[in-house]
Amino acid sequence: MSNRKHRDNQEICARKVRELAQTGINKHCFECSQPGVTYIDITVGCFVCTSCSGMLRGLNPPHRVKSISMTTFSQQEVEFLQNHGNEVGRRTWLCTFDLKTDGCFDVRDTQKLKEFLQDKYERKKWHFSKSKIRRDVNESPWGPGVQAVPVPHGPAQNQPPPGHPLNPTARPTRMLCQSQSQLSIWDRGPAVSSADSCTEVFTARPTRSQSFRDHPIKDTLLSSVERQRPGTISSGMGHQNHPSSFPALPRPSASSTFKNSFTLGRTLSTGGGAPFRAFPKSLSLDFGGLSHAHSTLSSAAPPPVTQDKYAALSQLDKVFLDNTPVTAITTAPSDGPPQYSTLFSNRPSSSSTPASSPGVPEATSGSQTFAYFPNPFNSTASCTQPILSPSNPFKSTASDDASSSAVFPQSVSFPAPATQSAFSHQQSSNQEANGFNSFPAPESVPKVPRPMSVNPFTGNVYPSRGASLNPFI
Amino acid sequence: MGNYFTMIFSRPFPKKQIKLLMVGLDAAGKTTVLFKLKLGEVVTTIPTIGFNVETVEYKNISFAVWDVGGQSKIRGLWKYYYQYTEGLIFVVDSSDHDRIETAAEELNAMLAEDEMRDAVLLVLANKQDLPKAMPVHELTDRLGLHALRGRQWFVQATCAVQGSGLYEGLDWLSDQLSRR
Repeated sequence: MSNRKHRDNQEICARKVRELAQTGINKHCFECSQPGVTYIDITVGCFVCTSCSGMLRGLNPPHRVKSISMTTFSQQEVEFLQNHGNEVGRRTWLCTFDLKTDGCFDVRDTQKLKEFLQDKYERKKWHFSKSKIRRDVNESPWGPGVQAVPVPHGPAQNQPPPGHPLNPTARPTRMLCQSQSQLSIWDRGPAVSSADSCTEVFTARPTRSQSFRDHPIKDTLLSSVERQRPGTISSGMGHQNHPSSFPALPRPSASSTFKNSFTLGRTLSTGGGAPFRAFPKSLSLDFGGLSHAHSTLSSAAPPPVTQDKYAALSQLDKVFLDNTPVTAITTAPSDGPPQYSTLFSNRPSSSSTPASSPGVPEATSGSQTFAYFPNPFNSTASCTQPILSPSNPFKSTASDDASSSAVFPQSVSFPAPATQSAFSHQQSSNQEANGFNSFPAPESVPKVPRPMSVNPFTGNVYPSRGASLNPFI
Repeated sequence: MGNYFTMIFSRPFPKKQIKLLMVGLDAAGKTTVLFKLKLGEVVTTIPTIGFNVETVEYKNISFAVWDVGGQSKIRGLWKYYYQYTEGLIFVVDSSDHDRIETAAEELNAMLAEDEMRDAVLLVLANKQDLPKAMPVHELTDRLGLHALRGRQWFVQATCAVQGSGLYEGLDWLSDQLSRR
């Protein structure tokens, strides 16, 4: 009798778990966003796909995964799952995660996915606990005026909207993410509120620059700023929001729009620093000629994130207002004057924080936008186009089990055929000859060291600072 | 002496094939052990639904190792693999203190089966590389192995990802089985 009751309980629990797996964001794998979850990472309470469940088991310490259909669940586990799930997991483990900088890679690349999981769980790179630091650092680069704008911070705000494919759908490649975010902007109808679309427009392009991150917060900043001066943008945004304008960006009407409203061009250009990355360096504008204050800037100098940049900004503003048609197309240092980028990053619209490594001089394109406008966008269009087309990478299950392995020298006495030495590239720490000596159990140590954020830069505001060569952040 | 003659006579004859059944709770490392033995490599495995079977040749014995998934709902299928099993490899996650009792229950239930009465038992105390891994003696106690009667058993500490201990386990198995 009790056995039957027990079984009924199990059945109820299993049903609840299945229902949970079909609700909302739980339908997609927490790690790779592949639709269709078959496993539950009971360690963190998230729903994952089969291949990711395998990877999670290989973490250090291993996560426990349970099949949704092949295991039984206790009442506690069901409650745990009800209180967690992918959305909570995202807020917890991907709190400071930024799609633009951290997350774009091909989920088919199991090695990358593995590293992603290690960053996520072993190093807690984007864990909620890191978010506070991030916020603190985050606000400093913003000018006081901008800072005054009330920005509702919150973990949820760092998260992409539920429909937004934070990882997988947008993760396949960095470029794909960018293009997708752009598309989402451009595809929107004019019905979108101007502030909203503005922010997206400005954030979208800059996403090209790799160091652009934090966009949700900046979006908010930006939107609130832009709301304060709606006139600057509303006129031009109609064109920008036109669905067809994106694919045919270089078309004359768009450029004429930019020509007509300089304010728009200015904001766009600052935001659009990234699109000009592909701009020939020789054509990029030398700001030294523009702003009198900054004539010589060592390109190698690290970006001074100091207050004087705001002063420079005001000067630059003045310059922009005065010299609308900028003719000076001199050669700029190819590395780009760092200060210019920081200058632009301070502008409300420059949520881009043009940090893209050596391509930054494009930030200067703001002034020369109009003469050369089509070119940059041509280049951007051409580089985004192929990216939009890739075959869906999410269907592929990362099933190359045998791909990740280490060399395990074959034992002499063991004649089994072994494909050894083919995969000698990783897990060297795990390597050990199949020695037949007594097994040194206790002396062994955890294979993967777990540096809890030894690097002060991982996980906070500028996670890529340590890794990227970009001197501008 | 018996060993000596076995060695002498077994050479010219076809290899003896022995069926080994490898079971254990989920995430104990059974599939990793299997492919480590078979390929000498560590593969990223997904939880096994169903079974994997590979032949591993060692010391002139061909072991057919059946690795059966260990998730709770499919443990009921283990019994279908009992037939003709000469050696039982029970893989335990040594670092999983919470479920060691569950593992002990499963093991004892299995050993009580009639079809398994002649099988020798090799317990692999896997994941010895992890912190908090139980040492062999503790695991032996908690599995209740000392209470076993009429059974050849052996506990071997292993780390499947490093490959340590696996062949020692096979050594013991081949030693036991070749005596028959």
